[in-house]
Amino acid sequence: MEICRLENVSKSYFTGEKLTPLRNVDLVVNAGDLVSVEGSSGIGKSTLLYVMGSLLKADQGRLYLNKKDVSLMTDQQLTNLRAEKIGFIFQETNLIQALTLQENLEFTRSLVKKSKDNLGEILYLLSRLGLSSHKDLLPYQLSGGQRRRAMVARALINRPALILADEPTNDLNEFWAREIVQLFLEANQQGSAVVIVTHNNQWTKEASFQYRLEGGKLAAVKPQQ
Amino acid sequence: MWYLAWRNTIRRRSQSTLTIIITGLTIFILVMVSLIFLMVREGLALSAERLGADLIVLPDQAEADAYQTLFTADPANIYMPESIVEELLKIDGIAQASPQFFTQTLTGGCCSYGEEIRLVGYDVTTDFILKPYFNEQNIGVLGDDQVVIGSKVEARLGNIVAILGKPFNVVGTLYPTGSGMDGTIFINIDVARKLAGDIPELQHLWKNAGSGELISSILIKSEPSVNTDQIIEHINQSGLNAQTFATSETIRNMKIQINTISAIIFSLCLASLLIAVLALVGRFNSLARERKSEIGLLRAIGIQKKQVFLLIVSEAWIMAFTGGLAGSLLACICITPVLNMLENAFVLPTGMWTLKMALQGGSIGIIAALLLGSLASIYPAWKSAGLDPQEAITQGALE
Repeated sequence: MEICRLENVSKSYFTGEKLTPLRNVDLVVNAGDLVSVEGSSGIGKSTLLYVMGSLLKADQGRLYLNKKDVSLMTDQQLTNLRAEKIGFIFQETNLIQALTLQENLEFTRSLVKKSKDNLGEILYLLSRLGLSSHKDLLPYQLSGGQRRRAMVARALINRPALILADEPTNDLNEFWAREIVQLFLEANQQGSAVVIVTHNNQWTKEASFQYRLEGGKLAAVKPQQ
Repeated sequence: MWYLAWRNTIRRRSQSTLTIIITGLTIFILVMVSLIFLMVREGLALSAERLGADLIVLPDQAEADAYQTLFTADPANIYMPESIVEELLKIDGIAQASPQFFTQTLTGGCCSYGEEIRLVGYDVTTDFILKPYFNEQNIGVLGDDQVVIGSKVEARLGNIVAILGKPFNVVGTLYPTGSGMDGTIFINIDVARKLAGDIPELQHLWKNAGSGELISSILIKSEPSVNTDQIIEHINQSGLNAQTFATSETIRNMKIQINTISAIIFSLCLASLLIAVLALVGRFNSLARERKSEIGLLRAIGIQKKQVFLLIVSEAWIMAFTGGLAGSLLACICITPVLNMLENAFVLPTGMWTLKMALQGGSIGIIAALLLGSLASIYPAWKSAGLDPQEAITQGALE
């Protein structure tokens, strides 16, 4: 089942000179896919994720999420779609600073599921990511690696259809990087699609599809069948 | 969203405290001024309502001041011959005239008051001012060793007060009127004269006064449907050494003065509110800038624009409410000493401090604080809500 499709997407920036990190990009992500996008730093991998997550409008081309053209959706519909269908892991650690780790997850969960029987899932994820004993700490009280794992937990908590992960293994040792890839694979088995962008291809071997972004073009390293 | 707003407020403790202090001080000033205005206005209304006299006649002396006589309990040693009363009663339109004799307690000595208190001797036979109060409280005609005290005058040694070295029984305390009566001791006019006659410091007054009994003021009730201006004109033409004031005119003049002063003070208050709004806009703007990345995150995970707007405004409301409540409470606590200071410095009837007034002041403070918070946060909230999520996340991270 198709979750996300990019058709002929281009995006340019003007920062003194014109930069075009995405040039006529086509990509289809289906349920259960683990897609990796490699590329050197600053090449536009994050831009690709922002466009796929409807956080950034493309200059050209179309984005379909759940087979719906997002250009035809209102801001309110897009926001709801993000809450229900997309889980983000940003490159910079980004959590709600006033809430504890557990509250961060509860808050994200409450945006989709209003019932209070979420605690089991939240505690399970925290336990899987080695954060049980830190659940009552505020983000500034956590280390960089713990914050990164917390962002992974937040991205997974709503079991979104599409998980967009920007350098998810940054700041993590091998053990936790492997655990996170394992969690992504489990999410795949439950029907979620995962797109990982990274400049480190050590953890992308598990991906069902591997791409490389270079000069604005997305080239398949391990092509779609 | 309220919970997040609350937690955000708590987490940024020093910034929130500063915002609360700015709001609190602004509201303190506003509530204080409003309460003073309310109380003085009520004091004037009470004075007008309860005075019961249409005209007041005072000696034609520089020290004789109708404002002071009506609105304050300041002791005044002003005198004129009692024979003026008979002359006045000959004038058409005067229904009743009752003389009063002013003197004061003296400071120092056993059981005496720490400050001079106005002592008013009233004429039992002609009085129409105090009689209604006395009747309401079942106080009969005062004996020579009896006094009635105003609500602000404390009795000493149980029900006994020592006035100029002589003990008197307190047979009643008048309920608060908001006028000069509250700080006055009432006594039989003959007893007051005798007491004053024994005060060494006042002997020079009696020497200058000549023969006959003295009085300090005459309160006049006019016939219904008679123009008080005509009576004043008659009194002035009769050649008596006295000056006459229409109480309604005195109160009206006082109202005009107070309204003018109030307009100036309220303008200053509005200016301070404006300054506070500008300061708070700056604070909320910088708060929103600091949290750009977090606001981008909220939008990315599914918070609507209007919810971001409400979040920022809610935080402002929480801080404004706390500041407003603290400022209002502080104003309610400080109002009594401030009014005492004002009473000592100016001629002001300050009404009564009641729970209703405290609630009015508190409501004004909290409503003003919420308005202040809303005004100060609407623009930063609107700007934050309109942030592009991606831009907010990336720029916020860089900043």
